[in-house]
Amino acid sequence: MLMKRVKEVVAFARASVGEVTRGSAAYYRWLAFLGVLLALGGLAWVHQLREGMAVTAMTDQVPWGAYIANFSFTVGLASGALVLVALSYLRRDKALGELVIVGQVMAIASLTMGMLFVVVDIGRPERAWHLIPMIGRFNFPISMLSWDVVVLNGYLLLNFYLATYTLLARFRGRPLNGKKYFPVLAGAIVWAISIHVVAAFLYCGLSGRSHWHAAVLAPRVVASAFGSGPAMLILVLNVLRSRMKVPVRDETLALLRNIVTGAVWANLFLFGAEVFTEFYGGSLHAAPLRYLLFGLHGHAKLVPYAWLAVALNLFSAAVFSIGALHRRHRVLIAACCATIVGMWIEKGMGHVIPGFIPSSLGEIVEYSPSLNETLVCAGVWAAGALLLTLMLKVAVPIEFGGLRMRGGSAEASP
Amino acid sequence: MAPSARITACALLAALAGACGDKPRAMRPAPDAGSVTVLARAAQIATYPCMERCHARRAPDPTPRAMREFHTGRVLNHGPTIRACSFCHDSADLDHLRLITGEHVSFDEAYRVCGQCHAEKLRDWDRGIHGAQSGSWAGERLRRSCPACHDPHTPQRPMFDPLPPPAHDRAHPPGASHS
Amino acid sequence: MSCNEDPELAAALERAQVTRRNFLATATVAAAAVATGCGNHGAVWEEYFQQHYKRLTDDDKRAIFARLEDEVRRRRGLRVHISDPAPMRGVEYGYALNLSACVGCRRCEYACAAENNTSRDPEVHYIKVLQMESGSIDVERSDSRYEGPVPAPGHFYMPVQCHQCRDAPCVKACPVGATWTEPDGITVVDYNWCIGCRYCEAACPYFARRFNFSEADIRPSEINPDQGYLSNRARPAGVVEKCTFCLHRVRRGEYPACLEACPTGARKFGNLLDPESEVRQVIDHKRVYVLHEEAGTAPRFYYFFD
Repeated sequence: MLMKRVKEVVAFARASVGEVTRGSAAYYRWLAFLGVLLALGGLAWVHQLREGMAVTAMTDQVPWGAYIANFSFTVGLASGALVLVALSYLRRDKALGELVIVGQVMAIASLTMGMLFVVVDIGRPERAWHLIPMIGRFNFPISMLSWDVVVLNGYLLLNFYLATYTLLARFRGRPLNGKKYFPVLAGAIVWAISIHVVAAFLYCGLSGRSHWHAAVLAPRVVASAFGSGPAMLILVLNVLRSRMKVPVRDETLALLRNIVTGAVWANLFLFGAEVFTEFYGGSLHAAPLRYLLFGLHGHAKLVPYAWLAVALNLFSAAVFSIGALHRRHRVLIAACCATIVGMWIEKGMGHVIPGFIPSSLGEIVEYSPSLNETLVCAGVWAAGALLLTLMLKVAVPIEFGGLRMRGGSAEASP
Repeated sequence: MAPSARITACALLAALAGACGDKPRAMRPAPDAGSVTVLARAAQIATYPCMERCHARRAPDPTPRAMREFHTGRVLNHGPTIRACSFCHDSADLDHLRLITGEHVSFDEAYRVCGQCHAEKLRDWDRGIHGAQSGSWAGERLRRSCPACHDPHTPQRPMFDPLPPPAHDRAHPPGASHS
Repeated sequence: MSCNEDPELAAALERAQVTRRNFLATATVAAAAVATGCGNHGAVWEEYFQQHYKRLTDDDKRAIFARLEDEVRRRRGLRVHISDPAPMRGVEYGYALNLSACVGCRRCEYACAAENNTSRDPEVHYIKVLQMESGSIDVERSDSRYEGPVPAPGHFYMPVQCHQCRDAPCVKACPVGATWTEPDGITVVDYNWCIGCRYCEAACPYFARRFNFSEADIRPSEINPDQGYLSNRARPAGVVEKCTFCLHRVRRGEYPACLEACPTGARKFGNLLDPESEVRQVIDHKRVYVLHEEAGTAPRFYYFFD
């Protein structure tokens, strides 16, 4: 029994290696591009490890920068990716069910990025073992960061299990065992919300930071995740349809589009509510939002980005709401990109940096990432994209191409 | 809840919070009640003892005037009513100060003279609220008498330059403007 | 009055013993290193697997202090003494600061840096003196980079440092329990346990925590050799540090360095549980206020005017 399992896994691994090493020139160019970015990012990280965090642009006044901004966003992507899974589960739709693997794979890639962003952010990554309960000293359940560690790792495990279980079953030509699959799937769907709520609670639990200390933060963050995640899925599914001949139905894309529409409007509504609350009363707590949108005492580094995000979100809201616009393929793609970039600014730097400006002692110290930080970020994004590409390269032939195990070795069937 | 269940629950929570394996914290005994000492001052006055050095041979001039011969640095500018040395100094015994009641007071107890007008400050000083101190918070607290910090002849203090803001502050690189 | 004499004497005796013990230890280690040709790899692993402060036995601590002292001697050519005075029973430290008296001279800032061996480049100060505008206690209208003669008309000065909160948000935030509040109310950091995530910096409403973006740059001649394990000993790069009310001084009965440096007597320190202490006298007889009280952190640091 055990030997059989080992053989299956070996066959699966060999088939995977076969798949990822086979591809068009464009595929190899894409891999090479990601490889170069990854190498640059890796070198920049080594530089940071040797020289210390001094090579970043962070300060004691702004102790979190591009890394944590990207972390927040990628966690959103990870939970948004599960929308597809939730839809197929709720609608018992077979065609949707086949695409579930794409959502899971995207969740895994996004989560890996999120975790890498934390790894590159901490000053002493080699001490990560201090987080292990009992052996280290895990401050659970007091620290919200400890909750984050739990939910992120749990979510990664759930998705890893679901993806590998599905792929292995298909690879072996066996049907999915519902008892081993659906409870975990249901868990993952609930868990998807929790990872983003906890990521929001990281911020709104801080009573000393007025900008974050708001109940609207969690719903806003979830809304943006349900915008950027499905928008990214639409892009990925389009690439799969055109490049890998994956049968993606228009109804599926329409479903995702509707979710993005709702999420984008919800996010804009919550943003408006926040703007009103902060500015109408005119309390001093509005300073961070004022810094973000209008600048404070002549400091306005984030202002153009903040308005760019507002413009992009308005643009995507318009496109997603007006049929004449989103029926055009190119406009839809542009709107998806606008959603992703808009949310990335808004839930990334636009969310993290103003929390520190002005500082708790009223100082205005601005922040923009250093070159080294930017390279590390690019490297992490490249790692995520690479992981996503490779996983899809294996998953798609198994799910749609009929790649099956045969007598211990694997080959693609026509 | 049964005690065993409570203990289990506590242990579980402690383990979750990472507190397992903690060694008991060693504590030292509480400090005794401290004491307060007012630092003696007379001996620190350059021209003290005044009688032996000069004034036994030369009686002080009681008229308010600019000092030209001795004590030339002294400018008396302490409120509207104090116009003569004899307001605080005992003209007959210059080794002592003098209260309004006529009582002799040692230079070490100059605060009693000040406290005649500045009663609230004296009270705060007595409580340790006003004035710099040194020594030990848990043992002998050393207090300084008023003239150690305030020149009783000209109590106004001029403005002065502070130490500079940190020059190599990471958040404020040299050359960058600040608000 | 024994309290401030005994610990000093004990500390002096201990210092003498430790020096002797260290000499032997160093000699042994040196001999072993020469014999095996493996340098100090053992120490590196020892440090890597070092347990959390609260799980260390007295023997563990002695070995660690010796290792750290030895490291400073090897790297900086300097003899330092690392101690770890225990908290006293019935003592909870508190601080009061007289805003009517402070003139903004920044002596406390620099005395603190000298006492606590904070980095000179980048320059790390635990204390920030804010030049406030008359008529407002809004820190946003303050300036911490002020120059020119002080006290400037139309302004007052508010030094800010760690408020040693009773409900410290930094302690709650830390995912690995590397920062905690000692029984006498001082919040400390285990520099060998902190992972450098800076969540505590985000959580602190008083800008009290500092991150070592690089290893402290400080000339050996300026290093204060009287060091506390939980306070001013050498910090590695990538970890957070903070004001500890000069833990290594105050647990011996001394005043914090910032207080001793203050020329105006604006700073008051003592045992909050002792009604005769200066800080209690201030709280009992003056009208005090707490900075950012709405954050709910319940600081042990009070401001007052008189």
